[in-house]
Amino acid sequence: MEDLLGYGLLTFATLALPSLGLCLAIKVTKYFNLTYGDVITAGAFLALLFNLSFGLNLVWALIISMALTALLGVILHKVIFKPLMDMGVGPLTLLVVSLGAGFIIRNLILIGWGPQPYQFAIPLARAKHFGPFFLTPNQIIIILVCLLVAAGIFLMLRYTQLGRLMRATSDNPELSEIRGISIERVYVYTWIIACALAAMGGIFMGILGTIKSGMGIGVLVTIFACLIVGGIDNPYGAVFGALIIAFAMEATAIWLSPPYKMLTAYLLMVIILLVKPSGLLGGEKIQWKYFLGFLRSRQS
Amino acid sequence: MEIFSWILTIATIVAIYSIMGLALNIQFGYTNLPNFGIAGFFAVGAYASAILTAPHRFREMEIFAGFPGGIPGRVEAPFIIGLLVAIVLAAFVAFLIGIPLLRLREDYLAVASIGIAEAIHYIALNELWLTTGSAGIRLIPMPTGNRYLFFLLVLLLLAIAFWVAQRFYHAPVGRVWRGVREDELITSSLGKSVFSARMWAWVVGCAMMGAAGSLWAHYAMAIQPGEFVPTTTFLVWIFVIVGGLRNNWGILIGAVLIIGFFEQGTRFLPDLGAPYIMPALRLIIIGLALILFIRFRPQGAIPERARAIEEHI
Repeated sequence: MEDLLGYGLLTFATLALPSLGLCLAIKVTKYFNLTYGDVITAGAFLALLFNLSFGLNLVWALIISMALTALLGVILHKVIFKPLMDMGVGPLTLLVVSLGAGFIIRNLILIGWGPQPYQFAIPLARAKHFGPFFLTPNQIIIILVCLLVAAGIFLMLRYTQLGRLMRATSDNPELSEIRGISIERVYVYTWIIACALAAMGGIFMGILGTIKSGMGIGVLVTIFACLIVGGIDNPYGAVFGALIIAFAMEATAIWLSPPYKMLTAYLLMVIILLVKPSGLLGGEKIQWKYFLGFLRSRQS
Repeated sequence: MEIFSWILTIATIVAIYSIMGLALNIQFGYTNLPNFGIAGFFAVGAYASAILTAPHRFREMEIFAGFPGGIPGRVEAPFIIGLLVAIVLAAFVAFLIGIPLLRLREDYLAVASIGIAEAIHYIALNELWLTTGSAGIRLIPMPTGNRYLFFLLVLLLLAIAFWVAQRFYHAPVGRVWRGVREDELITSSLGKSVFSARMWAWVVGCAMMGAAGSLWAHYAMAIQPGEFVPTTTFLVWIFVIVGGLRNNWGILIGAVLIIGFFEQGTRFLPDLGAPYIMPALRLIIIGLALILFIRFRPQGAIPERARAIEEHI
């Protein structure tokens, strides 16, 4: 039980920030961006570059990597997605294009670093008892930083001008534009925040495990599971979904079999899609009719 | 003679991929169902066929390799049983998955189907008693004995798949599918069930992917979970988009161009220092081609033919 609490919180800490970032990006830009998984990888590898190759402290590497990854996100948006959005293509086309862009980033990383896994240069630490948890100090710091950053994003969304602009743009882009908001600027700020969060999540994954060129695409589907479980248009839902998925995954690992962690996440996603497609904290109430909807549609 | 055998290899692979391209065209081109789980259904077909037809000798090898009890359920069935079971099983899995997924909006469906393919990949990787995990299944028999005849067999199945795809395009049910693609509301107001139209297109397409998987297993004679990753899905998507979505001839040409000349044709170039660099470069260029095509020629090399109203009646 203690294991579950500790590992669950750790998995939550790696999933929560990328989920939150992707949720903001989807909420504002209105399409699913599959490049995001590889942006996570890029963030982790940028930090690795500064940490291992240039010998910087991991904290500085994290800050520099977040800035550079945010820049990468803005470049991706300006070069690839903005021209297509101006052409007026649908969200599905943007999704396909983002898959292609993700392949480009992933394979560039593969050429640069090769297929083997890497680890950050951090001193090994012994796990200690902190109340009910049995964790290393690094892991405690990761969990605390994750909670603080998530809280900061929520406060930003609620109380700052930028947060209001983002919420207004996501609610009604046309009206926001008429009221004088530069939507393009809101998109850019959203990508900066989303990609900085992706880098942070990727680095946390690297601290807790290893870094590989294929790590992002695997984690991306889990992140989508978090978003769908929590409610794709609700930032609180993204973090809540990450909590549920993280604990479900770790419970599977402890009591069933570790390789089936991912399957649990996908299964939860499918169940939520059946029962309440808008997610647990999403728009409407639970629609139980979806359970038998298929049979009914055959009869009609 | 060597070059001839090389061309034969490429042609067989292109033909197998073309079947998957035609299947994706039925799902996405006709009915607007973005299936990003192609690799999953490909894997279902490949594993179904491989498990049914792999020889008994294989079991002893696995006992030797440390799987006590071997792999149950090996029946050494003939190829045709393997192919049929692959098709039926892929269709059945597609049907089960379709019940929750086909109610979703297109982009949700795309994301959820990636998850399904990954789930199938994890099952293939971890259910050792069934699939032997990452060791893969070897010694799958090639039904015709020689590669020339097998190529003819693949061509025959490609011709059938092409005929099925063309037939569905012109048949009344295909018209309903295209109606669903253009406007679900109008289609349902004409008394057609949108869900059942989507389900039929989904199941037919996935069954064809299963058939392609079976052919792949028998052609390669050995399969392992690492082949059924999102890259496979991505390759099918790219040649369907480059060749011309919604036009079956365009898809064949796209498969020859992307899979034949680019993906397989560059296989014997020198590997710039490390074995992973060439494949990575290839995927980077294919990704760029995808983005540029969608940006500058979204209808593909050969677009869908606009048809006069009289042709519909």
